[in-house]
Amino acid sequence: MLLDLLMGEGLQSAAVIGLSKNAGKTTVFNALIMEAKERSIPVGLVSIGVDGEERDVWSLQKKPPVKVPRGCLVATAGPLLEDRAGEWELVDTASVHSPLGPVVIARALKSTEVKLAGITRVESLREAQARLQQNGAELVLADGAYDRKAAACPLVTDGAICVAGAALSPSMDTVIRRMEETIRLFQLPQTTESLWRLAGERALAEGRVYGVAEGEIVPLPVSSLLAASSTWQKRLRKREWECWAIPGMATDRLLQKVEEAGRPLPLVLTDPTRCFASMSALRGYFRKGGSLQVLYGVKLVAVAVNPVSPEGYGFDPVEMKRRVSEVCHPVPVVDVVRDVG
Amino acid sequence: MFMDQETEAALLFTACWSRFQPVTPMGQEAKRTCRPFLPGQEREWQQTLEEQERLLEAADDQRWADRMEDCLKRVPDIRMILSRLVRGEVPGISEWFQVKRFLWQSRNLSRLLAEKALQSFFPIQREKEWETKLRILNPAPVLTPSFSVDDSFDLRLKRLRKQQAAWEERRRQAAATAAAEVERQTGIRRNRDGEWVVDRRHPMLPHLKERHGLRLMRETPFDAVFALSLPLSEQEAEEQEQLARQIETVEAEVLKRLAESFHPSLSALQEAIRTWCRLDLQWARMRAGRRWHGRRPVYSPDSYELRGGRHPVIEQRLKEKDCPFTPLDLHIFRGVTVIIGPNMGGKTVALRTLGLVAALGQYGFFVPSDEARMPLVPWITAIIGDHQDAESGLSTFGAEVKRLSRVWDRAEPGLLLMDEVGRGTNPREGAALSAAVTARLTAFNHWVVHVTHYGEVLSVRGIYAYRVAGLKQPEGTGEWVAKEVHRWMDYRLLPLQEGESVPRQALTIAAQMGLPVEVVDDARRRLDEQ
Repeated sequence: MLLDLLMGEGLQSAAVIGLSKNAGKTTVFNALIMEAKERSIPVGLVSIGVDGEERDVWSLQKKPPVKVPRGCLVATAGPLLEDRAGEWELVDTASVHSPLGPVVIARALKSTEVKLAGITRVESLREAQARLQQNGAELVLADGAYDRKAAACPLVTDGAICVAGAALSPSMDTVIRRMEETIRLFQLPQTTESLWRLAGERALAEGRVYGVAEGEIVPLPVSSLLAASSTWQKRLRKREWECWAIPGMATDRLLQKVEEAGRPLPLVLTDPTRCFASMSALRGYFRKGGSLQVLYGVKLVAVAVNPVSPEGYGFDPVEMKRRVSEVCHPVPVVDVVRDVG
Repeated sequence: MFMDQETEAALLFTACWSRFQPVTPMGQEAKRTCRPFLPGQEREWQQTLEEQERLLEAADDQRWADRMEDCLKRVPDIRMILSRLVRGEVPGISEWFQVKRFLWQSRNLSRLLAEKALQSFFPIQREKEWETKLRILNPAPVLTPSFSVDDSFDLRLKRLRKQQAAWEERRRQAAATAAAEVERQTGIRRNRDGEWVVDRRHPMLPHLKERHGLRLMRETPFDAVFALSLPLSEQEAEEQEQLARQIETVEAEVLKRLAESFHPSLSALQEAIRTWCRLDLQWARMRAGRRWHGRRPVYSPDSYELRGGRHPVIEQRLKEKDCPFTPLDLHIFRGVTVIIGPNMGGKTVALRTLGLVAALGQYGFFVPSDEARMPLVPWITAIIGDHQDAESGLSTFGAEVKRLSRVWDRAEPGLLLMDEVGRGTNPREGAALSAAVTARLTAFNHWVVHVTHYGEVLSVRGIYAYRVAGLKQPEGTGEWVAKEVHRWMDYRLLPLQEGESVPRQALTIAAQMGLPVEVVDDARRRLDEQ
């Protein structure tokens, strides 16, 4: 069962993320909640907006409701609980605001449904998680925003379940290719070199690029490699760098600029969700001697497939699961609708 | 205006102000409109300081202080909810939860204040009275900080909900039995959502489509999804709908009754918000003062007197460079006090320290000084330029003259701090200007402190004067580096006695810093000739 995969890893929190809009995240989310209910595991639910962006209210209203069994905890905007006022016990507050109002922690007094207001900042999400845990949640499940990987950020949750849905494209080949790209990203190696890790941590804490050269960590006068390329390219050529740790994103253009400087060196990213480079660009970068590593890896616990698109088309469920399993190996692949527990 | 922006910047006031951190939403809002205590408010000022003194004593008990801090952080802002109640509106459950949290924390705060006998400073309802209000939102015997419209609010709720739960349980059991029957007959198991997902090639598919009690939910080219269909009779559906409506009606009645019950307490709650806001501000002042080891300033209508005055921001910066801060001893009377001394002698730091202590004191803080006596003044102006900005010397000078002429003939006596008036012009004009400004200021009733290295200023009659103690006997003859001057400089301010000459130490400093001996000797010769 899906929950076994989470509990087996000893995770206290997990995000459900989708490869695309309408991937079927809520179905997987609900399946996890039901499994936890059957096994009497106290669960806390929270929804992740995109860090730094407000999730728009339109999207929120279109979201299908989450099924909440009795005793389950949720972190959501107070006003979203008013429709079923008699079904909730409000137990705590968090100093967190969602676009729909201040976030409260509530316990379901009977089986009910809820809309989860998206929390947008990493710090706020951590606080909401902590409050859910303080009030008894042994497992916090985070409903990630669609078409974004940010929710899987290891600074937010311990692990992630990725949902590959037919909604991404009417072509199964396209869905499989995108899944493969995501898997490759999540499998980027975690930096083990202690100096490189220290440089990565400083880059993250201070929001600036750090390099490692001749056993020394060197701050660079740029916060990102996406701009002012002539400045950092000169510095790149000047020394024998072991690696550069960058606090922001890696894109195709960035890799190209590093190559232009003639030094495809190892780049350390905070986590895989910061990599927006295409597979072909990444492959080219690795071939030329460069590499991409991460400070914190994402623990991808499982991949869930949904062969049905709300657009009306669908894939052969058996074939889809088989092909996704091939590209995701050894990550387990489940179909929560068709797999009978 | 009590202090203009230039003064705040010159005194590094904002860095200290940022250490003043109220924790309630009301306190944080009130901080933005905090005003200093002004002449005529001496009693209120001392009352504020007295309260902090008591809080400080109480906070020696660290466990108590932690509880107080924790309670304050949890006091929610219920002003909007009270406004809704005043308008006769009915708050929802999340708002009642906030009200309950407010009452809960109010009860805790009352208890904490009572433990340290502080109720006379923050008069508020007693613990028992808070409990009475809490009982309105918590009719169940056990008081809890959570909130729900539970059965104990209305006997009808218990009965109706019990009926609904019993019906739901019957439906659940009927569904389980029906589902088990489908599984037994077809051999196909449900998924976690209670649905049967059936391959379109499955031989049982036609049977399932025809089967009574199953509904085809959706179909794809690959499979069909069925769910149980347990239709309700019209009468049963009507009964259940009515039951749900009745529950909703009673719940709404409960919320409305709560609103009515709180009407008589609204003004007391508003008063409580004001009291907690004041407590939050005082607690935050006390904590800020404790961070800079502050002492309670004493009212002194005619003079400023500091013993061991410090500037926490400069002290911290020096500490980071491993340099000590020399505490300031100073007595400033109405009129003009001149502080004279060599460059790098710490005169500007003294000016900033005095200004900061005076400003923090007037904002009701304990001040960073072992002892401090001070008046309340309606304004503080510091004219302290940026010594590093040589290029803008003359334009800075112009701007400073403008600021000076705006304040010096103000009717109400205030504190005017001036740093090197006349610098940036040629030395002769500068010295003359510096002396003239000083002379002019002796005609007013302000507290003026003028730091300068122009000896000519000392010729002005009727001034008080201090000098920087200056260089100690240099040890060795090696060259100094600028950052090491502090090792040889005695930054203390000493009252300048009648007829006492000011030691000329610029040449000594220049020599120690590496200026060729023949150049320094030539300079000495020229001085002697003058």
